[in-house]
This record gives sequence, structure tokens and C-alpha cells, in this order.
Amino acid sequence: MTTLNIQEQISEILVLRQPSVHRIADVREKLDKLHHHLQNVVNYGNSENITLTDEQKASISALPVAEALHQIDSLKKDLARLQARFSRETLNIGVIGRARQGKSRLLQSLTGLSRREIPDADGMHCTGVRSSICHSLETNTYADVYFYNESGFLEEVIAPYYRELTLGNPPQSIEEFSVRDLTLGAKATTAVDLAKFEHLKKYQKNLSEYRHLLGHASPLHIEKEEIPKFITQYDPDDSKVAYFNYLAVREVRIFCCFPNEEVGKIAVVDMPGLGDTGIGDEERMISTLSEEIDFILFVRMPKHTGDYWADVDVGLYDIANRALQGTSLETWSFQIINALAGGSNQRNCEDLRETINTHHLKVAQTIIANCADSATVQHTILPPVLDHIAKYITVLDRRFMDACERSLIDLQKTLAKLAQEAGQSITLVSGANEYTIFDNLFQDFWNEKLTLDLETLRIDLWQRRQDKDPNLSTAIEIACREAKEETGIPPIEEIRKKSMQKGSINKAYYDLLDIVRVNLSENFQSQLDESLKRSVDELKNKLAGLFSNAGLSSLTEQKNVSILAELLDLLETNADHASDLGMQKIHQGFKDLLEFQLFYRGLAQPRIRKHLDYLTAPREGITGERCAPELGQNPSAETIAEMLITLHSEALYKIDEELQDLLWEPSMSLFSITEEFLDCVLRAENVESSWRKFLWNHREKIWKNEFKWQHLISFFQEYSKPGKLTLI
Amino acid sequence: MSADAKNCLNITMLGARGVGKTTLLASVYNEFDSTVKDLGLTLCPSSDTSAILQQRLAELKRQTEVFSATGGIDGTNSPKDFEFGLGLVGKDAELKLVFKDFPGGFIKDHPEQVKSFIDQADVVLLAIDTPAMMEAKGAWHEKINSPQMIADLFKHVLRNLEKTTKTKLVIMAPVKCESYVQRDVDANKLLLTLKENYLPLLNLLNADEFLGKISVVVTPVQTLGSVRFTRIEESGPGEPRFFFRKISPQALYQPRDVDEILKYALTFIIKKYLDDMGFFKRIFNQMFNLSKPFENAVNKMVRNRKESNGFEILQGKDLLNFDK
Repeated sequence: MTTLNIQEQISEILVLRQPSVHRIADVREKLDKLHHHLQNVVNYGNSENITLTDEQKASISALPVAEALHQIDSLKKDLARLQARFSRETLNIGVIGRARQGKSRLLQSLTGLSRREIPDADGMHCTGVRSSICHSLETNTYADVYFYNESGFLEEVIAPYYRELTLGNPPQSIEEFSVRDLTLGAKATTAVDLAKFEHLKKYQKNLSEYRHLLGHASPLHIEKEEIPKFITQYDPDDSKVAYFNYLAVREVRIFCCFPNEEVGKIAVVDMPGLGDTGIGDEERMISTLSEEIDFILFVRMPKHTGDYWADVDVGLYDIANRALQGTSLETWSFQIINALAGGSNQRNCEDLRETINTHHLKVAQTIIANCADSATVQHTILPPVLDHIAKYITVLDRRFMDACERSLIDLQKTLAKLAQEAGQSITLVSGANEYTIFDNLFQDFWNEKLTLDLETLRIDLWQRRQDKDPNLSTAIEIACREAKEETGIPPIEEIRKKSMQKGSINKAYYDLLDIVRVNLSENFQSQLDESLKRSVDELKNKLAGLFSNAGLSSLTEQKNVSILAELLDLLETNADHASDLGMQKIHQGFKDLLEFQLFYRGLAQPRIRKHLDYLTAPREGITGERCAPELGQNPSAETIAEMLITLHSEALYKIDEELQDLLWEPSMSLFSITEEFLDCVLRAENVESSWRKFLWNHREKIWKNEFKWQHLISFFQEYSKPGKLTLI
Repeated sequence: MSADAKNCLNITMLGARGVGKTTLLASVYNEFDSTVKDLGLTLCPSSDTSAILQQRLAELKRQTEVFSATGGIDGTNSPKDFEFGLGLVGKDAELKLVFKDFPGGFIKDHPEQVKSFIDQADVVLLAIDTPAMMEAKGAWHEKINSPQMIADLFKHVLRNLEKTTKTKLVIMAPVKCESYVQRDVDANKLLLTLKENYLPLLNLLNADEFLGKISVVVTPVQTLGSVRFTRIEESGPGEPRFFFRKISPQALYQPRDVDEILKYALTFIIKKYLDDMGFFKRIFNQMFNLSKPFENAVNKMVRNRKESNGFEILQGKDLLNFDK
């Protein structure tokens, strides 16, 4: 593979990771739910539960729930890390090495930055600020600075010092830290301890310089020139200038254009070595490695006076290996042996290369090169690295996934065992035979409650089927009253004006006829439609309530008429739906009931229409008796007003009379639809056994208490099935 | 004109308060001349009668001047006799026609008096408030038209039939019926509703013993012609007001079928006294000379009577026809 399409390959790798991100998130969610349910099981079997006997409680505590919970917790951590890894936008190359091994030079060569942005690992300048350099196509170099917040600073930076140096309880606030006396205990006497103590004192002494940055909004965007201010102790060009900001900085992300423009979405991360700076490095490195790094470059510069692989090298290697969950550094690390210009340590380099294996420092490749020479780095180190990443990264990703997948399978096994034992203990915990319990409950539901209640309602509706519908009655009353108050007939002056505007009094008259007529018609339509809807909804609510009372209230959280819709949904998704005729009938009943509506347009409008004839202006085809009377000789605005008022009152009176006749129709309709509904859900052939099946399937929800145990274990029974929890 | 009681022909008008009996009479009087001119008869009101009737007529016509007739016509306050002299054109009146009109409430308060009026009457003109009968599904019919009370009255009267007039004509005249007779189908509906709503009375009248002695006709009259019922408003609880309006602003005063009442009344009277060998026959013979022209005129009147579209002879057709 050539570097030309490395960029594309890397982009593709990042894209290919995305689906995994979703799957991991999915599994994490399921694990959360599972955790919650298992916790419920534990709570249920709690010694304080008075509904259970001691024997039952013992049976519950004998289940391997704790084991499952433990596995879940561990998995959740691993998956979170994995998700973070796959969500990254770049492939990250971590550069690990102790101070003075040429790490900084290597980074400078790789990225094209100078020692201003990547300080040499001079003991004096080294700060432990984690910095990563990301390749960006923009020509300007800039950086984002991330600060600690106060609690993070105290917890992650300061507290480890107190613990390791046994200085007492770590301070709980910055204020406290600033005033506390620092004295080293008698136990801490090694040079390392003393050095670390100095670090801590430095943090305290210079608090005022950087305190304002703790909790500063992150990230802070800075330009190239400012970078040293945040990552070094002294200005690289003038050691008299001291900086303190770094003490508050958690990490810096630098964006610049790498010399090799075609590297694609790559970032290099500077990883501090062991013992180089302060306490807490090891933990930080491990967490960084496990979440942030896809590939490692170890850097080692042998002294020309003689060098060998030391314990510290092995230690560093081991830490790195541990952090990667034992997926073996072998495949994704290179060892860079830094050759000095002039070849003074060339032989030592070759020695190291030869002996690397004997110390079990297993890496994929070992490369000798001058890290300070940009061209060498670009040609000798970078291509093989990119090449290797492109080739193997998916394998490595896969290994991580597989590790998690194995853990998931283990969890599944635990759950299966749990489910089996829980199933066996059902009888013990829930009492009598499950089916007997169900049968009694169903009889109660069907015979005692549902059937009786529905029949009672039906009889009531039958008796009232010719009664006036109160909603409609009220609506008509209101509509009439409003029509009387708001006739739409303007005052005489307006009429006069109108006839002048229209140019003829007849036109004004016809216009007004239309206005009055439309007003009247719309008035009734809106009132009546509303009232009809109300009556229908009242019936639906009543029916829904009956089902709720009979026992289905716990099947859904819905109230009122929405219960019916919910039941419809559940019926639809019921497994037997397609083949069970009884179920289909029940489903039909609910569907028809839900869709049922009464409309003014069908019920009343035709009957009202004819009474509006006298408010209809004559036109071709509509003349004579059945339309508005013509204006007489010399009509005036007063005449028009008088006529409109009279015709309006007449229409209103007749409409009212007409509507009184149909006040009972809604009652009849409501009775009819109820009859049809009951025919479907109560009386059709085989519906009782269909209901029985339906309720059996949902028994844990409906009768939570009786089937509580069943309900509790149903969840993890579900998840114990193979394939339920998987990243594949 | 002789003041002989036997020269009197009594016509009693019954009906609800405010239904328009007096107004009906005024309308009938107004149509008289055109109706009977072929017969060479003339009707002459007494001066009192004339004054009241003129006033009533004027009030009636005023109803057609406004589009919505919300005001009613003032009712009669106490019983009144309207006297007319009936005679040949150019001659003195030979016969006195007495229309007894009394307020609707009077029947309730003085039933005995009313009964004796009816006993003496040859023709009973029952004015029926048609909107009260037809609208609001007849909710106001009982209250306004008091059909039961009318039936009870007749019960009494019929017992005395032999001792008094021996035969009677009952004209049931639905008034204010403009809205209900515009089309044949509407007029038939009116007739049907009337029969339903007056069943007790009609059953009484068509008992076997009265079938040949009492004639009953239905004569819907339109005293204004160009108005329509428009709505009912309750001015107080149980106090309905019926509102009417013109069919159009320029519609004129055009009463219709008012003359039919007269036609039926006259033919009944003429037939009755032609068959009677008593005193009246001589008068009639003198008056009418029973000439051919007179006969022809009478036959023509019979032929021209409306007997359909709401008009119907319910019983006693023989008492109204001249078959030779």
C-alpha cells in the first residue's frame, strides 16, 4: 500500500468504526436496564419484605444475582471505554518514552512544529501537560487548551500527592489547599519522594498565578505564539520568563499541518514517561492509553557510551501492555531507536535492536532513525507506521470487540443459569400453581367484572336510546342564543353605506342575505359538531373505564379513551393475531369503536338547509317562493334591516324546531355502536378463549402482585437468550 | 224589515280568543257583494255593525303595510250581534241575518248562554287558529283552540237538536292558514291534522243519529292572503305569541276563499228552507220568486264551491246539494 491512498484508508477505518459505536451504546443501555431489574429482584427478596416467607427469601438470595451484577458492572466499564475509543475522530499515535530519549524531537519531526510548541524533555521544562497534535489542513497552527475545574484539579492532581506522601487528608477546596501547611512526613525520605514534594510545593506556592484558570471555559482557543505559555515552565527562547499556566492545564490539542500532508486523520499524542514529572502519571497514562491511543511508538536513545534495556524500559512496556487489556502490544507498537546525527551511537542502536526480544519487549517493528531529522522521520518512520496502522487497526479493533463479546457471552451464561434457577423457584416464591392463580383471576375479570359491567352499560343505553342527548340539547340552546345575539345584521347606517358602496340597494341586500345565512349556518355547525364529539367521547371514556376497572388498568399508563387505542395496539402485536379469529374479532371491535364519530354534516345539516331558503338570494334557477323575498318599491335601509331581522328570526325558529326532532338520534347511535362493539368483543364465537390467551400473555403486567415474581424474572429471562446481548 | 224573531237567521261564531272571528266576519262581509251578485241579493249591515266592521277591515288591511306583522288585532271584549238585512237588490230586506260573535273567554265564563246561542243557530262557524294547531307539533292547540271545550258544548247542544233547529251546518274554518295551503299536499296535510285534532268533536257529530241532520264542512280561509307564519315567541311562560310576515314587501292585501264560507252558508240555508213547509218558505218564495235564473244561480254557486285542496264536506252532503 502506498501513502497515496493511506489517507482514504484511514478515513474509511474511522467510518467503519461508527456502526460499532451504535451497537455498543445499544448494549450499554440494555445492560443498564438489566442492572436495574436485577436490583429489583434483590430488593424484592430483601429481608424487609413482609409478603414473603423466610423460605421464599432464602430461595431468592440463593440465586446468582450478585455474580451477574458484578459482570455487568465490569462490562459497562469496558464498553464505555470502547465506545470512547471508537467515537474518536482521529487515529491516535501515542509516543511513549522517558525524558531525554528524543521523544520531543520525534514529535517535532513528525508534525513540523518547533520546540516552542513541543518543548524538549529537558528536566526543567517538562510539565506533564498532555498534548496531542492533530493534523489539520488549515495552514494556521492553533491550539485548544482544556483546563481542570476545581474539583477535578483537587481530585486528580493534588490528592494523589497527599495520599502517596501521607500528608493527611487531601484538601477539599482550593482555599484549603492554599493555606494548609506543607510538611513532609517522616516516612517520605527518598529522593523520589522529595522531588515529588517539591512539585506539590510548587503547586501551592504559585496558586495565585494559575488559580483563575481552574474552571475556565474549555476549550480556550489560542494562536501558535501563545502555546508555550500553557505548556512550559519557562519560555523556550528566554529562560528568564516563567509561566505558571501549565499547572491548571489538563491537556492541549494542537492543530497544524503535518509536513506530509497526506497523512489524513491522524493525531500524535505525547505521553509522559514514568517518574518524569509528578504523581499520577501512571494512572493518567493507563487511562489515556486504553481510551485514546490506537498505536504506540516507543522511543529510546541509547547513550553512545554504552546502553542496554533497563528495568524502567520493561516497566514502561508493562504498564502500556496492561492498559491495553492484554491485547498484546506486539501488534501495535513500534520501537524507535534514536540514532544521533554523526552516528556516534549507531552501534549501540544496533545492540538494542538485537537484544530487544530477549527482554520480551515485543513490538511489531524496530526502526533505527534520527528522530531529530525531519526528512528521515518522514521517510523512514512515518510510512511504515501509517502502513501498519492501515493494515492492522481493524484487526485490533476487532480484538477489543471480541474481548467484550466474550464477556457478554459469559454474562449470558450467568443469566441463563439465573433464569433457570429462578424458574424453578417460581412455585416456591409465588405460591400455588401459576395457572390456577391465573384462571381465578381471569374468571373474576371476565365473569364478575367485564361482562356484567358491559351488559349493565348496554341496558342503560338501551333504556335511554330515545332520550334527548344532553350535550346536543345544550349545544342547540347555546347556538340559538348566540345566533340571536350575533345575527350578523349590521346597524342601519352600515346598511346604507353598503348599498352606496355596492351601487345598488339590491346588491347590498343580497350580500347581507349571504352574510346572515352563512353566520347562522356556521354557528350551528361548530356548536353541534363539538357537542356530538363530546357525547361520543363520553361513551368511549365510559367503555375505556370499564375495561380499566375490570383489571386492565395496569396494562397501560394511558387514561380515558387512550386506553382503547393502547389495547388496540397490544391486540395488533399479539402473536396469535393472524391466526386467531376470535382475536381478530376483538380487534375489529376496538378499531371500529375508536374510529366512530358523529358529525353535524351527516346528522343535521340536510335538515337545516331547507330552512335557510328564505335567506338565499334569488338567482337563475332559484326563484320564486323558496328563496328570499324581493325588495319592494323604494326600499330603504330600514326595510332591509326589518326584513333581515324577520327572516333571520324565522329561520332560527324553524331550525330550532327541526333540531328538537333529532335530539334523540345521538342516543340511538351511541346505543347502536355499543351493541356492535359488544357483539365483537363479548359475544362473538370463541372470544372468551381469545381474551384468555391475550391476558395470559400480559399477566405479569395486569396482575403485578400475583405474578410479581414472574414479572421480575421475565426481564432477565428475556436477556438470557443467546443473541440478545451482542455487539455483532 | 219586520222585527219578527222568526225572520232571523242565527249564525254563531265560535273560536278562540283572538283567532279572528270578528275579522273573519268583516272579510266575509267584504266579499259578499261579489259572491252573491248572480243571485240578485244584497246584504245590508246595521249602522253599528257597519262601523265596527269597517274598523276591523281597516285594521286588517293595515297588517299588510308592514313586512312583519307583530301586532295583533284587538279582540272583541263582549258578545256582540252583527245584524245584516238580507234582501233583493233594490228591495227592502226580508230576512235578518244575525251573526253572534263573542270573545273566546266568554265561553268559559258563561257556558249556559253560549249553549242557548248555539241552540238557536242554524249555522255554527267555528274559527280555528291554524298555526296553533299546526306549529310546535300542536303544542298550543289545546290551549288556544280549546277543542275539548268546543266538543263539550256540542254535546249539550245536540241533545236539544230536535227541539230547536233540527238541522245545523257546522263550518270548521281554519283561519291564518296562508302558510299551510300553498300546495295541494300541504292543504291535505292541514285537513288531516284538523281531523286528528278534532276527533272527539267529529265523532260526536257523525254519530248515526246526527249524520243526516248535521252537515260539517271544512273551509280554510286566507283573510290576508299574502302573509306567512314566521315564528313563535314565548312572551311569558306558557304565553306564546305567533308572528307573521308578508311574503314580500310589495305583496298586496289579497284574501282568498273567504267567499266559500258564504257559499256554503247560503246554500245550506236556501236548501233548508226550500225543504221546509213552514213559514219561511213563503217568504223565500216571495223573495226569490223561485225563478229559473235564481235556480241557475244557486246551482252555479253549488258547482263553484270548492270541495278539494283542503276543503271538504265531512258529512251531510245532502243538506248542501240540490238534487232534483
